[in-house]
Amino acid sequence: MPDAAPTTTTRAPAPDSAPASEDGRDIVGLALRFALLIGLVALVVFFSIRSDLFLTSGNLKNIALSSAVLLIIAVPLALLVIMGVVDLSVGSVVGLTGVVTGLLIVDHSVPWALAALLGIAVGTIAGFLNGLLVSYSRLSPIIVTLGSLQFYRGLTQSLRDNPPAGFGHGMELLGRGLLVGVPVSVWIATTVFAIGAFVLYGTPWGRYVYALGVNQEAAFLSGIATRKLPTIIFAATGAAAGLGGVLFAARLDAAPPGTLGVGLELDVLTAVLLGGVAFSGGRGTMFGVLLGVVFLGVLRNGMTLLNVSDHTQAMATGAALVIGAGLDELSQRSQILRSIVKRR
Amino acid sequence: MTLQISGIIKSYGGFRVLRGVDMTVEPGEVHALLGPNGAGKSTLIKCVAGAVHPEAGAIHIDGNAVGELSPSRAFELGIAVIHQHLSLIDALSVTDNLFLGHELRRGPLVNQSAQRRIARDLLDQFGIDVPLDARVGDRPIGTKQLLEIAKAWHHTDVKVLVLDEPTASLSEGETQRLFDEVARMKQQGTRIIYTTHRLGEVFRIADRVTVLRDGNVALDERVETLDPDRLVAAISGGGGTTGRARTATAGEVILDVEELAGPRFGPISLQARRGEILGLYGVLGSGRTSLMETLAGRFEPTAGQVQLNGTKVALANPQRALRAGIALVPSDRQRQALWASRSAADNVLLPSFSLLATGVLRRPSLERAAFQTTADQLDLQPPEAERAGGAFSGGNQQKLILGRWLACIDRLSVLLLDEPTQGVDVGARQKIYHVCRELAERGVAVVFASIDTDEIVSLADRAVVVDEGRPIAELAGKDITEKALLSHAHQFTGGIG
Repeated sequence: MPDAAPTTTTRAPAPDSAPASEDGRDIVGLALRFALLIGLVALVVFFSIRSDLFLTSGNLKNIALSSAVLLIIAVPLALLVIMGVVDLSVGSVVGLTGVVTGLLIVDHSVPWALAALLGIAVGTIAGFLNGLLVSYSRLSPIIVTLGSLQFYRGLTQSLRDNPPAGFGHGMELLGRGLLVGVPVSVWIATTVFAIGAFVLYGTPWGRYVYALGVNQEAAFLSGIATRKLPTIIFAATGAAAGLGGVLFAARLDAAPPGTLGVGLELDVLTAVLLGGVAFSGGRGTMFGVLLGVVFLGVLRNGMTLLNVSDHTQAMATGAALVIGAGLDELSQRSQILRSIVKRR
Repeated sequence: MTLQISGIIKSYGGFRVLRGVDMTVEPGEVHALLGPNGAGKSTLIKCVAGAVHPEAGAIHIDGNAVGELSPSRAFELGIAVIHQHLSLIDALSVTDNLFLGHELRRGPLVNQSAQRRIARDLLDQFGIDVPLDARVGDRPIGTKQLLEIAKAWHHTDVKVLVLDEPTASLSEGETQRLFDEVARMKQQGTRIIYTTHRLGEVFRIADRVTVLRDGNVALDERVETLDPDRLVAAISGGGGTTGRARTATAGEVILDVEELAGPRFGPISLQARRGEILGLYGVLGSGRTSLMETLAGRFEPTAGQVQLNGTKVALANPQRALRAGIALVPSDRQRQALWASRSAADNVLLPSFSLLATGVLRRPSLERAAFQTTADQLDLQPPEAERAGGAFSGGNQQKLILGRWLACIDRLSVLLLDEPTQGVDVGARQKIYHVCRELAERGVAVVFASIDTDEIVSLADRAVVVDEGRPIAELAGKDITEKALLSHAHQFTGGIG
């Protein structure tokens, strides 16, 4: 849905949806297209008025911190969804990699940087296995990754009963340190986002991602690696979840096997879909994903500041997703309608 | 007491598809409705079935004007149309399919025993040998077709049965089975309208023939007095168009197909030469599409081999075929080729993006230039790179797909086109033919398959007639005429097929 963005200016040949209204009269269509952006601005204004704490640098840092890991995982997951598949196991992969990294440091005295890299490697392998199963078995990605969600969580809990904790100075820097006044994890998320945008807009693979999502048979007949490409992006999603697991463990300075990353897959998927990526594949933008993640982060942070209860927060998040997706659907229809009218 | 169609006129968007068609089908008559693609057969059937309203003309059953028809009204009157794409639900049982939407009830429940009793009677009546609880999807297409007929029979008092290309995907055994059933229904006084591309069948089961050409009745005659040559002449339009003046001098063999076999075709041997346009002609179900798609790596061949420029190539998947230099413009544009929501540039350049990139980095300026060149070459209308593929007309969509291979033609030595101008307007058709000839002159071996004799005559330097997945005749140069193609395809050369 949101399309005009920093990223759009750098990619030249193909827009991801028809240009906005040409005559300027179609304000409704325009408003629908930028509904999420408008909603985000409205939220920021609302929370700033209701809470003095909202627009403080400390709170903005909180929002950035909580959004960072979400964004890191949302970027490759969005590529998967655009391609027409999905990975539901990312929460469990976060748990697995966080615990692996933690116990390597605590139980085996592995240096923190090496432990973190090994954790990311474990995540990559976990994602790669998902990809192999989905691409070469013809099983639904929902079935495969729902299965691995359970499997990886069980595996995590079998590794250690009580959480490894106390990872030392290096991990503390990673989890809570600042670089030029900005949290390290936010720098990492920015890098991941830039890589994602580059892949989607700057390389041929980005075109293949859309082509696969829109018409897989056509992609296959056009010589695109319809099995290899999804497998690689699944592996990248696992790597991103691994990175997320390391960052979570670093921030908590502990890695509880039973709770680390539980339910995260739903948050990430909510952000991705809220950002206008179509669950049926073929449509979505990186800027939209960024907006979806930030919207979710602002919504939750603001409600927490206003002392809104957890269950009300859940209801609001759910409602935001459905309303967001509904407006997006309306926007799509109005665009299709317009293109038909133009053809006549 | 007949079905009488008189003076039917129908236009689509100013183009007159039916120009006053008369047709009479008497009780107990099998009436074959024939004609080339685009002659108006489908539209006439739709008028009879109530799916389309004619602008003028009338339909009478047993002397009564039927008035304005809707599909449900037509069905109530006893007009049942069995389409090529059947309406049965594969996942349901035979009984459930026969009663779908009209279940017999006992209170809130389905009356299973009554349904089974009636279903049994129906199956016996139509001689269908299948268990009542069998899943329809597991049964062969011939059985499904008979079930569909039986279903229509159960739901209405069928007076007129329209069979649209019923034998296109049937085996010879299944065809005979269907014909037996047609003969039985005929005995009961049903009026049967029957369309087919296999002319031999006309002489097997039809009593009377109507040939449509360009929306007019070109022939209406009883089969006893009908001469196969005159039938072919009526369908092809008099003497038929003859081939263009062929100046192309074919070079060395590029594509050498030896005893290749695959799904529903083969073994088949073919050669395509540098600079030549080879046309494969065959009726529906002749195996053309399977052959083309196998050559493009869509299916793995079960036997035989393919040589490209003297080297044996493995066509394990389209990626390998492309790397070897074979590309395909598939027959089903929407399903197999178009990215409707993606831009024209994406649709054209997708296989070229990696060639135009420097390392992994795309080069927008090179991409724009490549798109522009291709769009100019094909006269794409409108020539907008950002326009969504689905927003183009059928002809221009086909240009996008042909352009996909034009943009990377230097890497290709064989271009396969399956039904290259299906659903394409006249202007785009000429442009596509023109580009095919240019490609041939540049040394690409162009191989296309078509169901349309006119297309084979206009485009092919050499034509191979394919039936039941095997080559049965070869024509070259001036010998390629609509009449010759039809005669060979229906094996009229040695008497009636």
